[in-house]
Amino acid sequence: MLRGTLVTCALGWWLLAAATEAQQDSVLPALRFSGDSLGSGFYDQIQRAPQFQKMSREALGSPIELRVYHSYRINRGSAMTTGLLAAATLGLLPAVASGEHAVVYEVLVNGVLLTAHKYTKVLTHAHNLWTEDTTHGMGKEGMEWAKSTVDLFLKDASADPKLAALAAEFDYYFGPATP
Amino acid sequence: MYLLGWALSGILLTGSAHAGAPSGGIQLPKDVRVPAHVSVAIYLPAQTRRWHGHGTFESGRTLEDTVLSAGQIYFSESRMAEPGADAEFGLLLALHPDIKSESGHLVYSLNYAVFAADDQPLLTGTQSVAVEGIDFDRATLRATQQVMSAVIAGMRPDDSKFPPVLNLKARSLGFAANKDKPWANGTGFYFNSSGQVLTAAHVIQDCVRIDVKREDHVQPGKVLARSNVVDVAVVDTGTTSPAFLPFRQGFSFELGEPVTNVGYPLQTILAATPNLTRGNVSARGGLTGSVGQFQFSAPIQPGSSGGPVVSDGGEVLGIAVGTLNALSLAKQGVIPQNVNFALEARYAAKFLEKNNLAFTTAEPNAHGDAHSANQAALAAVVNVQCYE
Repeated sequence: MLRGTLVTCALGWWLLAAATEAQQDSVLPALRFSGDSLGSGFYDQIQRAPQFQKMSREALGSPIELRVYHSYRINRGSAMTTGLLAAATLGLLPAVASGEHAVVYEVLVNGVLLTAHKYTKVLTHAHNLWTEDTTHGMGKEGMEWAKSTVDLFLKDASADPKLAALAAEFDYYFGPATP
Repeated sequence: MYLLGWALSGILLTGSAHAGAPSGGIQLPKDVRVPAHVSVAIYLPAQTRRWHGHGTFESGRTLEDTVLSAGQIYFSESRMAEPGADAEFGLLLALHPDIKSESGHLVYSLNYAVFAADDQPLLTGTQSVAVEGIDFDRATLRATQQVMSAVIAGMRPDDSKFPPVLNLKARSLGFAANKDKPWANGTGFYFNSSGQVLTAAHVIQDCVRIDVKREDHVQPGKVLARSNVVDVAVVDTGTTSPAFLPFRQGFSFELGEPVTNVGYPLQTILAATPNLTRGNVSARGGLTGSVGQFQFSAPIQPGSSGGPVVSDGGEVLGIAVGTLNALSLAKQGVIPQNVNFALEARYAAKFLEKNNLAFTTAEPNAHGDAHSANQAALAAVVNVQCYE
């Protein structure tokens, strides 16, 4: 029994060590961050992750770049709705936007796309045409969803073999990117 | 007010022009039905596939989206032509977009060529559309529809005429490239006697055809190895090279050390002869966050990338890979002067070792001079031309 416990503990320790080692191996070197107005707001959350702890906005010369941005495709129907509502309300209220929104996380190496993680959601959002929409056309619920994509990305990135291979290649040339 | 509302809806629409049935003005002969029953691979230069008319980041439809959605209407099967893809097609439609200003108006042109099993095009042509405002999406869609209509009207393609035998698995896409002018120009140099050329990886990014040119002699190049991390690549010319450059043994260099750079910059406006510039190693590091680079002051221009930075002893100290963006810095009130970056030779050597490619080293020659360095560099440097 004791032997079994010891074996289990040893195996558990080995697995933990292996996992830690694997995670350390995939710590990315100093990489440059760029983002649009939505993506820039995710910087702190991404930078807290061990894999991206060396990320910086100032690493202008780094060959590696993480680019985070929001994209959208508006449905033709929503534009029609906007027109109808605008017509019905003398063009004052409200704009209805429905379409597929995406938050895209791209890692580029010397400007060449290495890997991309894209999270999409179809959202419908109405707002006054003449007021500033601080939710990037997604609404409050959409913004919550957009923020939640950071954790999804960090999970996917930690298991991304292309990022692991990038860290390994960087290690070959320049030594390990120690935390 | 009504008009204002509709105008706004129009603005919202511009991000989502959809391909439907051939739209107004696109005529097909009455006896022609779409989709034509033929499988088509559509080739777009890689660097144009993500073109779109909105902002810095992705928004709305890309050129690839538009081309694919139009292809679905005109052909029973259409996919993008991916290099090395193991799929069979009856035709390959190569599209080369261009935007020009004519009499103050933007004109979107789509040059096209259609290939079957052979490398010679069966049909070529150009369709041009005036860009209304900044609506590139609609111009792209319309030009694409016009091209596909012209192909169908001109060739009446179907599976019996063009059975799916065109496979890109072992066939280079070089035949689909625009051979009129290179998409990009750069520099390289022989580093051994086997005709292998070292250059910067970004010089050959996305090329489907590479020409290695020296004086009037042009050889096709084949990529043997590349690394985007250190931005270097090796291109094989399949011939021997009597003149080549060695790396400095030990890879050390001194601050202030005189260096020569040879390259083929600005090939669209300068004569096709190598440019030689002189300078010094000016710093051991590059930009913040860069690794493995040093600064040098010998002037370089677009097209110099991949050129050797050579000591007076004739040993390679580095490979030119970049420069400060003078235009963006000028907007901040700073005019940089000869702040250029080279990858240290030690990392190029590690790259060659990793890929089992032979190179030579030479002991530092303390008695060298500019003349010998210049002659050594000039003899080994080539112009690398990238076609898409």
